[in-house]
Amino acid sequence: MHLEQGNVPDGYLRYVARKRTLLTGLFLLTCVVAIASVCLGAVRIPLPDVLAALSGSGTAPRISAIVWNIRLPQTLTAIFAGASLALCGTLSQALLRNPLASPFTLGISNAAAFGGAFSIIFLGAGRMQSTVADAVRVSNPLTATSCAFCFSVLASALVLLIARAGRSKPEVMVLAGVALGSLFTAGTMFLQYFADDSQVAAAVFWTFGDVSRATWRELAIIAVVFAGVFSGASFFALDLNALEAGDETARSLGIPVDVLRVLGMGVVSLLSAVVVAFLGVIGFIGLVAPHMLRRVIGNDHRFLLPASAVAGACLLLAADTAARLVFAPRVLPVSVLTAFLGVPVFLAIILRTRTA
Amino acid sequence: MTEGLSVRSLGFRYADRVVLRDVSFDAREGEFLAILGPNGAGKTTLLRCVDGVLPASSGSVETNGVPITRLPRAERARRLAYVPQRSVLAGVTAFDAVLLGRRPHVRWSIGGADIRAADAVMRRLGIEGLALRSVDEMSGGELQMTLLARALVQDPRVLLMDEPTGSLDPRHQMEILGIVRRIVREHHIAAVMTIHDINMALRFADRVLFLSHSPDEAGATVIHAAKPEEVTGTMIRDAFEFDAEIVDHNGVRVFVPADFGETPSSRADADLCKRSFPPTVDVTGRGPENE
Repeated sequence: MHLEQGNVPDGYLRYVARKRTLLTGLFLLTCVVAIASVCLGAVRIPLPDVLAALSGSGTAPRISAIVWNIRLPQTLTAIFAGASLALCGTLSQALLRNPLASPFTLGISNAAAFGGAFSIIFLGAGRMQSTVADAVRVSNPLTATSCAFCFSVLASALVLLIARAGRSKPEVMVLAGVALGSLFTAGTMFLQYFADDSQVAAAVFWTFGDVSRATWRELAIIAVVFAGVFSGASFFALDLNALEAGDETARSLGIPVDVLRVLGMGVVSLLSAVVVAFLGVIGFIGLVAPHMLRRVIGNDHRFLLPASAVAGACLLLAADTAARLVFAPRVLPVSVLTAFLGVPVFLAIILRTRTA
Repeated sequence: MTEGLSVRSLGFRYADRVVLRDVSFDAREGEFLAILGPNGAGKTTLLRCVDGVLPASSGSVETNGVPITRLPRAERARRLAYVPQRSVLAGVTAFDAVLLGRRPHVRWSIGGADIRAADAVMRRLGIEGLALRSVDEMSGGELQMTLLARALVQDPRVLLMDEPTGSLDPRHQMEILGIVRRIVREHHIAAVMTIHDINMALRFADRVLFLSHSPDEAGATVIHAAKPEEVTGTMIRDAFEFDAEIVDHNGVRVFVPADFGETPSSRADADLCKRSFPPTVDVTGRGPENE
């Protein structure tokens, strides 16, 4: 055909430009929230001091220590964890063609909780060390983390194997994930039944998602895995678009649908397992950030992937900052707040676009 | 070497059931083929096998003399394009939906050439005005045009369409088939469509294939292949198991179901009885005729 005779329509250029603007706006918003997140907390640090501490020029060592050792890693962790969860959610929803898919669809959160409980109760990874100032922590987080990670990966590998046997149908994956998730929940209950109360408390506490757990090293791991998955996913953005048009169309366009689905879900599981193992279970963001952005920016994954990643980062960051402030000086685990903060925004977006 | 599409002794079976048996036909470049046949005869399955989306159990599909199983996926998608009967696409604009068709041509990311190609095809089909409309808000006709545009932007040598007129009113049926026929001729594409409307097939196709069940349940096959002016009532009866006539109306050949005049209700009752308890004579009397 004479495909060279077309133009690049102005309308389309404007339409793409609008999406770019939205994306940029969202990015700037996240930057602002990030700066606020570094400034705010039990100790309020004025912006000039933060900038001085970051540039390493003459501030009080105490301020510098708070910024570099506490605030900055926590802020960056919130950014990368939020972005990772939202990215995983977007990918799961596209790969499984299921609007209810989330990073935890393959049973990862339940498996991680089981791994955490297993390490705490059997491997003695921790007892609740509750002091007067309610500084609670798990005494050996590394064991708990590696256990949680191993079980998460095991769970998703099992689901993917089952799915292979079921000809990689998305509904088989979702159902297998639900089934395996329930199995791990039952396993966790079983473990907890035989544990003493401080162990149960530690196991439950471990599952609360909390971004302040990560140090620079964990942050680096999350960031590297996120960067890998994000660039890979961006490369396949068009394939994800095609998948949205149905398996039949995608195959007809030359896309190896089954391979893409299994590999993609494998990668999604890896990234969410890393996040869950280090930080605990942070719900809601992975499910909802993609939907918010679908409404605003559309289903084109070339824009949806970066946009929902940035939105996830922004949401988790805002929730984490709020979690530090609402009951200050007490600090809530962020997983408690994500839903409280996100649900109103989410509902507002759903209702607004329905009537528009 | 055959220019265009060549299907040889194609068979397809599920584990417990043979769907297609020994299907052979050609579609030359610039030729528009219509496949007629009763529901469940495997028309969609046939198109999927030809497209390579379903692996044929036996036989071969060749484009320009090369079996499609030997082609890399992307190359296959550059040669054959498929317009499915239904689209589950949602939440994207028509332009983005059409742009999907460039996937087999894209190495890294969508570029200016792809965007220009999408624009060119949409203009050709006269739907450039729909470019930024969401596919969720489209009428059946607009959506069908968008799906056709997506297939054409693949720049295929072979165009496969599964009931392209299924959800369209008569005017839009004529419109879309007219456009397809023109594009097929001008750009030397081989096109194959399945269709239920016999009159539309007679009017627009260059050749009509009748695909039907064989009496021994051994899979459907091509029982007749004819140019529209050679199609007879017998062919229709063989494929669909009811009496029909082809009449000439001012030079247009029209299909008319026979005997539906006198007493519609009694006729319908009789028809229903015949369907529930098919007389054995009819079935055995109709041998499968291969092409």
